Amino acid sequence: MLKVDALCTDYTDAHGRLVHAVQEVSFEVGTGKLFTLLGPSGCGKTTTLRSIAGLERPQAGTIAVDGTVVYSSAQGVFVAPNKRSFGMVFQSYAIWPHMNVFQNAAFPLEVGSRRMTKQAIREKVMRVLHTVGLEELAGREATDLSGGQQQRLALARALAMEPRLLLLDEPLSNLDAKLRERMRFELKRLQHELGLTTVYVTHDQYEALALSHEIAVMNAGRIVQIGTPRDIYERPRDKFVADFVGSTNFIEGTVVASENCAHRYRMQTALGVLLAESASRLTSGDHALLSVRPEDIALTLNVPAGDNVCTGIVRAIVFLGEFLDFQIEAGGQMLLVRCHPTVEVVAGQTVYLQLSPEKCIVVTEPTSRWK
Amino acid sequence: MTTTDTQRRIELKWVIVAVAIAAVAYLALVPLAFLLWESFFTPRSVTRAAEFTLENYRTAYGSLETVRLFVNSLQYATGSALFAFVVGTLLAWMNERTNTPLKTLFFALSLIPLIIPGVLFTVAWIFLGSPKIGILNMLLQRLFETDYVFFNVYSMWGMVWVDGLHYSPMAFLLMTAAFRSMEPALEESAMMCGAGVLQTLWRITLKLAWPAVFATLLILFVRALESFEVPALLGLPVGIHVFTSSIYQAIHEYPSQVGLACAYGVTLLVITTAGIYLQSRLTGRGGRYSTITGKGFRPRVIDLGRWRYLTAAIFVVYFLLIVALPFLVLVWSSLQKFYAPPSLAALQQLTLDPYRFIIAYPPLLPAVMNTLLVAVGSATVIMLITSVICWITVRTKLPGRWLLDMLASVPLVFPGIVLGLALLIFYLNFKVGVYGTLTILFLAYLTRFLPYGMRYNTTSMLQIHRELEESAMMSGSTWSTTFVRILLPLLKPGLIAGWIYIVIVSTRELSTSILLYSPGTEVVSVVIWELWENGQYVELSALGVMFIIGLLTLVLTAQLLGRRFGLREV
Amino acid sequence: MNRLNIRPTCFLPMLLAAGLACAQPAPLALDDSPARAQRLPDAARAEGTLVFYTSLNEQNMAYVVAAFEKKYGIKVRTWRSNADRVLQRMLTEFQAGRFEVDVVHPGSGELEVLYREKVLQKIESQQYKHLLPAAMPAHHEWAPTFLSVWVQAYNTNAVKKEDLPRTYEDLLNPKWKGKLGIEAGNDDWFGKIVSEMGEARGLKLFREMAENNGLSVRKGHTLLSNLVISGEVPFAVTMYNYLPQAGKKKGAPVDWLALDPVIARANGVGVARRAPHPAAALLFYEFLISEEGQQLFADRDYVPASRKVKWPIKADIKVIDPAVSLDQSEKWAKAFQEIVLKRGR
Repeated sequence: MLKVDALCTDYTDAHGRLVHAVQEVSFEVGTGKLFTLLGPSGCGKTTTLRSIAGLERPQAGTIAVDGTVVYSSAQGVFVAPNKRSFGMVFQSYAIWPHMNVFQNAAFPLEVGSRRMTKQAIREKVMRVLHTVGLEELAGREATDLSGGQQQRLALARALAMEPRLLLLDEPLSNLDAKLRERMRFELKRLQHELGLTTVYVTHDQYEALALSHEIAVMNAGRIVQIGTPRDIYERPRDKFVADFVGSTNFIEGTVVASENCAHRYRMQTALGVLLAESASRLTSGDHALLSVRPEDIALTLNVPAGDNVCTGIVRAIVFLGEFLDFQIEAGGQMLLVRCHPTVEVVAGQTVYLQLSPEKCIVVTEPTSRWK
Repeated sequence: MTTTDTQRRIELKWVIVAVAIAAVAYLALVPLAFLLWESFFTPRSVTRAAEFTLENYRTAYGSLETVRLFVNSLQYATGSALFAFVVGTLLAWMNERTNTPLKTLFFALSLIPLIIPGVLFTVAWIFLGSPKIGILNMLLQRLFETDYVFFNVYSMWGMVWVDGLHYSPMAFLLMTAAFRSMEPALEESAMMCGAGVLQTLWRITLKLAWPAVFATLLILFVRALESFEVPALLGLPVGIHVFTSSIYQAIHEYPSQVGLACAYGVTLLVITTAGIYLQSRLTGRGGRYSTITGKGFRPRVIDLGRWRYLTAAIFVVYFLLIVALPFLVLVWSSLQKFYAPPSLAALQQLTLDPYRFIIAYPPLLPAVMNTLLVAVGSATVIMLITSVICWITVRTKLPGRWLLDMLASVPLVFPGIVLGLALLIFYLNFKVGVYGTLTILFLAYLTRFLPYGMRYNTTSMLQIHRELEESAMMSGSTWSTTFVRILLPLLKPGLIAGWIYIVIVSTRELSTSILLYSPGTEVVSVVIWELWENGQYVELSALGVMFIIGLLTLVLTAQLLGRRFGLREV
Repeated sequence: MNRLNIRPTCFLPMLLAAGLACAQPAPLALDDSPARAQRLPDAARAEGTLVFYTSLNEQNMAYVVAAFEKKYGIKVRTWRSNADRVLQRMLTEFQAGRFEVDVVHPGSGELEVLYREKVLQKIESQQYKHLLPAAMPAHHEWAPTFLSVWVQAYNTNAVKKEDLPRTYEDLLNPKWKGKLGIEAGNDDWFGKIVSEMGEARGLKLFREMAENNGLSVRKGHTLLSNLVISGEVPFAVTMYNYLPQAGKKKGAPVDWLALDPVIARANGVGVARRAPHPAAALLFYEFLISEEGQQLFADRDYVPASRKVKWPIKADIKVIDPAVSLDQSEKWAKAFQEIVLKRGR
């Protein structure tokens, strides 16, 4: 559906310096899928989105939708943003303060290339307003809306034009936590129901994991890893991804030997010998960094059966309602361990930790990919 | 912070507010009271004291003639205001909101028509567009071998054309400030909705800038109603008379019918008051127009794609045809002994004498110094005072604040001679040592250009979201610190545009200067007038050319420096 | 508001001023004996300076003033404005009791107003007998310095010498259609010329001229003069004589002629009743109407008021009586408006 190939976008900042915001970015999004660009601020994700929208003019690469090229440096194609019929929700929502709710949502239908009757526009607008739950407020001034309502209006406006592609630029970042959670479900439902191909930009990992069919993690203008949320979370390719998506523990080690089954290696670490998985081939003697998620470490008071067991002393406990976070000192480093709140352990106690081998992932040092 | 500290700070805020209000009231009320009072009195002479009368109003409004003149004036002012607005706004939009090539150069060039003294600009257009000797007509007639008259400046359209062009820089500056302070996402989202560039401009950009649009049109309209030069030079020969000629006629009589002139002026007062009232209703509609919200605000321009070559072409055509033509006429005239239409014979007569004359002209240098002093001084003071006044009218809920806005705007309607007389009489009797000094000119300019400062600041102030100020207050900043550190920097586009405008028009102000200056306090506009009255048209053209070059250098330098220190971003 | 304050304050000094002047006739001003001429320069030098309001073209006035300053070593502080403003400023200052100006030099119309408003003082002088009697007011509160003579100017490229009119009636010839121009503020000229021609004949003539051939109305003689030079207006029906003369000297394609009756307005000089530098003022006054001063005006192509200096124009000049002109101003302004301004296209 959407195909971005080797996209490069530069811009000049306020001080006249040239910024290489997006470098060699390529990805594909299937029809009806929600694709997320995830990364810290300044990583180039918004510029990528704006390049797809046509609001930025890239330096090189190709962008095609449904086989139609909307941008290609090689063919010298640049379709103006208003001719692309992509819907977009801006971070600030960009609700026009001089129009009411209805007028805001009706705008794309009035300016589009298709001529529509007043009646048809009215029906359509009321339908999208209904979809986002704003039909009651159709006559209200846009400036009188709450943040959540503005967000929904921005979405309604983007949906009204029946876009080929929906672009969302941090649409939930201006909402409070509770509302954000609700809107997350709402968005997922809408996207699913309407079957809209969507590109979503966020810096919030949970949003990305919750909503996406596929995630591209970006850093310093490049895509570091593309995969399903589960892939990204469970098999981060490098230290940056592992660190940015969710919380994790890093353990340094040296490869001792490879195991029988594929991708599994035996490592010597400060915690003792650990079994870990690696996507790339390693040979013994290689230095490796293991990443293990806090929830993938089992905490027991008795020695558990199986591999990858070590001991540690509980240093701190944080109660977070749904779970408990433990800071545990083991092998001279602090590990974060997350357990069900029923576990009863006190600080200072010695405990056993078991790291499930399939969740101990060898990640590469990302430095080589960085500028 | 102790209690006394708090009190002192709160007091400081009100002291500044009170001082600003007092200054505006003082500046505006003196001529206003004069205008209203005088309109009810007969002329006074040594044999007859002034008496209360309603006769002025009866004479002014009791005749069909006035209505007829007024209809002419309305046509002219509407046309000129709309034309100036369209031209100025288009240029401002291309300059601020699009990626048109070479646009930074055009900012300075856009100001040229403003710098050319009015009489020179109009005469240059006579030389270009007269049916008899107009260069444009002659060229086209020769080209098509016809005697068809392509342009006729002696017509309502000609008047609208010349005056509209002359004042398009005012619209340009006002709208530049408005566009510069606009959240780009609002336009981008329209583009994403499928709106074309022009649709976005029309339905989003201009609608969002509506207060600025209204303010610009209002001031252009009232100014055109009050203007005298173009109708006198272009309308008179073909019998198009306007309202202002009655005012000048009344003053010219003996005994001078100042009261009658004032009674005519009351119409302008009523129109302006109504306009300002409407404007205040607009601003009263809350944050509808606050487009600088501080939320991810990055000024960005619209990528016009290939169309940017079209806009660049518009720029080029505009400058070649509209700006460069009268400028070239000026240059041509300034190189001759007397004006002759361009021809081979005239080409052999070229001389630099006019420039030599101007450079060696003794009254020029002191006049330039005086003008610089008064123009820069009054522009700075006006922009600062009106920023406070704007804050009051836009931000506070002070009852009757629109009256304050009106007060600061009424000087726009005083015919120059009425304002001059009012100040003359006031300072002759209110002896504070102002009369006969440069200060009285300074006060006159303050009064006369106060409305412009108001408009420039209002347009910017309306676009700044209240929260930006409030968050400064919440950070523990005092009102005055907030004002200086937050508001003034955000107002910068409007402040600078207004300042440039006032400085430029101050150098041209004649109608009050010529009454109020004294031996030793001559200003440039008086020198220009003298040269004109002497019939030294070619020398005056040389002066005009030197002005333009000087000012262009100034603006370009300022721009370069500004870019270096990052002044151009908001 | 300000007017409330003004009315009592501005009338008192005015009456006082008038009273003072009547009670103690300045002996110097009324004494036209040779003794005064001897005493005056020293008294004037003691005052050292004088303030001069004028509506005369800057360069030409500077020329005359410089000669005076050089001769007597007295500094003249000149304030120049248009005639209306000179009048306004002087009256307003006087009413407010501010006596700054010594000498004023506008047109005869403004001078007559100043006389009626009792701002000027009566002066006797030996020079009066040389001045054109028709231009000299009987009340002796001001004296004429030179005449603004209305002539006809034409572009020598656009109008052939043999085509030039000999009388105003010739201008009714259709060959002048679209070629005539006139200045917008010449209602006093209009009043005088129509009166001279006989009212019925004069009005008919100009009405026909405006209706049949058109009169392009232009604001300001300098503009009209420039337009004649550029060819925009081939023939100007009214033009101050010195403007085309100056153009001609520069080599511009312009010349002038004077159709009968030739009308002129006097420009003159007066001394303020409360002149702060009475001797210097008087000396300057005398200088301007003296043969020496008059010659300076003639140098600049003006028609001097003195008959002792050679005139640059040979014609029987009818000088407008400012008193009559003032009294009839409304009538002629209206007629001019109706016949010329409104139909002049």
